[in-house]
Amino acid sequence: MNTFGYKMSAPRSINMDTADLSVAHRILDLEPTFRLCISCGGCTSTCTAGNFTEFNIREINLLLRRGQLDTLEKALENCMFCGKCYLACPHGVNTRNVILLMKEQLQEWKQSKTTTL
Amino acid sequence: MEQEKKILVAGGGPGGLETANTLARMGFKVEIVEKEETTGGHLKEWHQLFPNFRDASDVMEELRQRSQHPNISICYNEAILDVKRVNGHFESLTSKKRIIESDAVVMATGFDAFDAERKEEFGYGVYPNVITSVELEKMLREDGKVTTTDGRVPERVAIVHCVGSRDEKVGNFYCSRVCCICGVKQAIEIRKHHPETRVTNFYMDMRMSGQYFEELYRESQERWGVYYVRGRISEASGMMDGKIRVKAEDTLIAKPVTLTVDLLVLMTGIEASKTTKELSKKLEIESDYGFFRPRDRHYDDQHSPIDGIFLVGTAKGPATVKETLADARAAAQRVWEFFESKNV
Ligand code: SF4
Repeated sequence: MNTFGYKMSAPRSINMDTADLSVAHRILDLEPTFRLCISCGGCTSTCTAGNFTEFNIREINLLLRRGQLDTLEKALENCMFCGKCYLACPHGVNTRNVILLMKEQLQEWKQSKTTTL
Repeated sequence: MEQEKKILVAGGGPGGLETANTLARMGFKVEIVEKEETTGGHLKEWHQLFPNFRDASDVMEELRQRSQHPNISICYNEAILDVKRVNGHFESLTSKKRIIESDAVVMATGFDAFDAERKEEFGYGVYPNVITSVELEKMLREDGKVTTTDGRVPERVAIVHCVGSRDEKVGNFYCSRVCCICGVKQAIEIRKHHPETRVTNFYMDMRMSGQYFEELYRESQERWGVYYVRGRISEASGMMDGKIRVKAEDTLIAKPVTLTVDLLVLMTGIEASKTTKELSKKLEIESDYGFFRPRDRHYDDQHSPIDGIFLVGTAKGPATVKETLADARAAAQRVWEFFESKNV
């Protein structure tokens, strides 16, 4: 028998009303050069990891600022800290420190979430 | 109306010439001091102007003809080194050790194109097939043919936007404003002359800041099939066969891209010229990046903070030819008002 109906999918859109920007604010305060990113992609272009994996260092800035923290955490695993991105950046963003801070801050954020539960 | 006053114009580019032409017609005596052997500044290096492909020589001719005026004298191969105010008038020292006396001074000392060797990652000065927009313009002006160093018509050309602009690493945070539209214009010109050549512009933002610029950008896609990639080239490497391989991220697809081209053209930005830097510093009227600082950016943009020293065109920051010419006429008006106010 044919059944009619609708299948619901979770929306793909990013809800910026509920996005958690606390980590973003902390990192932007700790490494102010990160505010200067203009998404030119010079970093991704030169990135060793990005040329062989799905890792896109330019995108981590946006993931952070849109509160996409789970996706961000997974993405960070690919970085090898070679620092070539830092050399390519026309705006002098200290990309290496940004990644280091992200790793630290995401740990703290996760811990704070478990302790408040 | 004959005027008593004499005005010194430092620089005989479009800004200096048009200021002098306007002042001369108002009756002032004008002396232009030009550091090169002819007037015209960077305009004489240009083939055609955006956005309407008007011949630069046509504009040049008009300016030069108007400067054949009995009130205008021009000195060549001479630069202004210093300006001093003595008892209400000016004494300016030149590179020929002359002192020029005048009642006002107009700084039309212009810009220099960014030195592309400072951005090592593009390989300018290392790989012969990496050239600047100024050098491409020269090819277009001379015979309209665009070629690689070994005389071939390139199959592929890449144009890099923002070379030396918007770049903290070279200390230039600002946008040079004219290179985006120039990149679009030059891409079209290459396609016009060599329809087989594929042209790809690498940009971060396309800044079509003037009237009809957006239309030209559109035309470049619609009619001339220019390719655009949103991403900054991180490095260029020379190949054994003289070609250049560039790497960027196509940020709209979010993947690294590589492209091998026969010719890489760098859209070098606008910097304060050496003379602009030196004089603005010496007279303590410099703003950021060595350009001159106007008194008030809205109401007194042509007058420097020093009474009687006026500022025109790219000596204050990036500007198009059209903007510079309008600015020059405004400056002449300000000079006239300055003397009027003193007569009251
Ligand atoms: S006009 Fe375009 S190419 Fe020139 S500096 Fe501005 S954004 Fe870059």
